[in-house]
Amino acid sequence: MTRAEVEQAFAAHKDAVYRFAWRMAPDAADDIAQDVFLRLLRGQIEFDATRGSLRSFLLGVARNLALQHLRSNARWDSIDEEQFVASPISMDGLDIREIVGRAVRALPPLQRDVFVLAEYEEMSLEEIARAVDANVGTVKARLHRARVNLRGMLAPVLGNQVRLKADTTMGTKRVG
Amino acid sequence: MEPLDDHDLKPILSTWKAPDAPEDLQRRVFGPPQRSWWAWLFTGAIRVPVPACAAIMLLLAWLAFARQPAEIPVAAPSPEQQTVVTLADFHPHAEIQVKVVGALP
Repeated sequence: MTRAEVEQAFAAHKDAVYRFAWRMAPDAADDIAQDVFLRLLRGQIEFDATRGSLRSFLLGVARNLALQHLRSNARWDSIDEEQFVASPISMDGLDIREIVGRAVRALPPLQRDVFVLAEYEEMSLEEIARAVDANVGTVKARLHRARVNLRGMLAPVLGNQVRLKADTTMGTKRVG
Repeated sequence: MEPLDDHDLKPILSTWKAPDAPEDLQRRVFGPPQRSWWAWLFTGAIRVPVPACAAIMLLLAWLAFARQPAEIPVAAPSPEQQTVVTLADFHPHAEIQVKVVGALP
């Protein structure tokens, strides 16, 4: 890609890449987003338009960098993703957004990435499968487990949902 | 594997907003923005090594000194060329006769 094309890609997708990196690894979001576009600029990664959209490609690169970061910082437990047991998140004094953030970030990385791509970046199963280099069936299974786990972690919030809705319409989102 | 009913989960999940990319990300990826040459004339800077700077200063000082015009010496008159003026032979007229030339109307 020429520099002008990379600049166009940056203008169009920088926010999506940064948001994804922030949800995966907030302390390294700046570095991950920077690295994605630097690699594109230096020709270290090649975009193939026949294999999906540029956005999915960039999010896939960001996903790999985020997983590398989690591995290198030993934040990726050796626990089997299948055996992950979600326990309800403590709501003491936490904002509803913080509770959701904690719950999503508590998901195992391979569930978290597909969940964030599907839920927050609104990517199709096929796009996610290309981005995470897995087949659609695997993506579906991970997504399902992620949702089951989130339901477990957010059970107290879901139980109070009627109250939450009333609070959010009034502008107060504090729960606890 | 039954699909989960997300209608109650979605509104809660949507409350977790992520920030947009920071302003300095573009500079970190592409470097500082390129300025036009005339803007550089006003705000640009160059690095000059000290020996080169010293050599340039010495050259400029030497040029300034060498271009100063030499003083033209004023030749003192020789003793032969000196003339002595004296009023010893001056005799004023004793009587002045005024003569009007031409006719008055």
